[in-house]
Amino acid sequence: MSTTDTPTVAPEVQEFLDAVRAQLADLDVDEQRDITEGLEADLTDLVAERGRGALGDPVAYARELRAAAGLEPEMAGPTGRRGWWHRVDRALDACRARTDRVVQALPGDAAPLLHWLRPVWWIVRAWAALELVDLLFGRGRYAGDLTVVPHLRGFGWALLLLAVVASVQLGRGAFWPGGSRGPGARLVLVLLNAFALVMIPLVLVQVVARDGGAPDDRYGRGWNDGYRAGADEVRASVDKAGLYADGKWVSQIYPYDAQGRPLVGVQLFNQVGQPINVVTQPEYVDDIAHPNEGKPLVYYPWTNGATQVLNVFPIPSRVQEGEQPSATAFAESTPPVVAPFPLAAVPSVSLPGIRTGVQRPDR
Amino acid sequence: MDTTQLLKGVLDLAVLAVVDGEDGYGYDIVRRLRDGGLSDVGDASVYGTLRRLYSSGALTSYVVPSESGPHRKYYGITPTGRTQLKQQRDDWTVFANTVTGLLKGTREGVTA
Repeated sequence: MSTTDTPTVAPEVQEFLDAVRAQLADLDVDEQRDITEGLEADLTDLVAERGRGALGDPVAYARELRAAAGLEPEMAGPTGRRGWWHRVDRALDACRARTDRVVQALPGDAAPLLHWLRPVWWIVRAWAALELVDLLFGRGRYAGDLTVVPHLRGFGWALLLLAVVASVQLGRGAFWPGGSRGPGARLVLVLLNAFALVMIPLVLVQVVARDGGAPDDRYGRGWNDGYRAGADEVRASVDKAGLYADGKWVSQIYPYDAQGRPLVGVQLFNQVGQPINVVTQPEYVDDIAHPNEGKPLVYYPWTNGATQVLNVFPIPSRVQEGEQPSATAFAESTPPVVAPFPLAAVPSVSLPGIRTGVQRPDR
Repeated sequence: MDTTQLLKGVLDLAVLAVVDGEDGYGYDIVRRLRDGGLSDVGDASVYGTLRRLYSSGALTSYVVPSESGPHRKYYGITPTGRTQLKQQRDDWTVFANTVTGLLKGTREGVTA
């Protein structure tokens, strides 16, 4: 009868016992069972009475157990078979035992407090990992600043939740397949934890600098905001919609003919016959000549009777309450109009041999 | 003097003695030994000794299921164990008396 599957054994006891069993691997199954049966209960009592620091080094423990049981103190067979990993395991065990002793020796209730704080660390390291991802591949890469919840294309919260769950499961030891940790996995985990420990101050500095760590530093914040806006623009340039001239947003076009006279209702197409569509949005232009009193200027594109045609200029507009275009705008008391041209007339243009103001004949 | 070395020689005897009165499980036996004054006794040494005495037939063992925690493995003494205990107790008494007498003689020799 084996008691190894009893679910009520604390993880540290189970871990210690696994390490002890690893030192008994040369014994046959019955011998192993004889020697370890009941140890769960004994070790659980030990930990309950004297804390987990009393567990000590499992390798030394196994040696003592073997010696007292009348077996060879050292495990038989070539320990060099998995020699290097075995040494890593032992080194980690020794490290663990030493740390436990140091923690146990701390004054007051430090040991249970630290133990109790472990889940906090699991959450913090998950957060730090995501911030790091954000810093390397997300928003932080362009703007050099991080938010308390990583941005990550808007998936920040969801990814944070996922990372926390993964980290906690890892911390509880519930994440490894089969529930046992080989020396390789242990080593990786130790290194990752150490890495997180180093990265947290770096991430914190970034986040605090951004999120109100120095609220009076208006220059610095302005600089950051400007930098970020610029960075956003650079990224947006990849998939810009609408019209731009010299990299600047164009919301309206005022055409003039060759004689320099204003034209209304001009349809524009590009080199392959695609309409040059403008993308408009409500504007708040509140200058002395056009006192809009904080109301938006809303554009009403031309239509072909069925749908809007966005490549016809100039686009009529009106100042109105609210940003939503009204379906009945043209029947209302102040319908959209073609706003006055910025220039009443412009100088005429010509080229020798080219006639202006005529329809181009079909080829 | 390192008492752990002395302890090794008499651990069988000590374990048999504390199990003789009442059956016990591993940690319980460690506790009895510590309460009895063997404060330096190592858990693993006691458990190993229990296994060895069980293998040699001096102890019997049975598992008691527990609802709240892992099962406990209890040890009780066998007739073989009692014989061994008596034998070793006598040996110990003779041995201890001999050493005590030896030490007395030495001290008297030095002080005289």
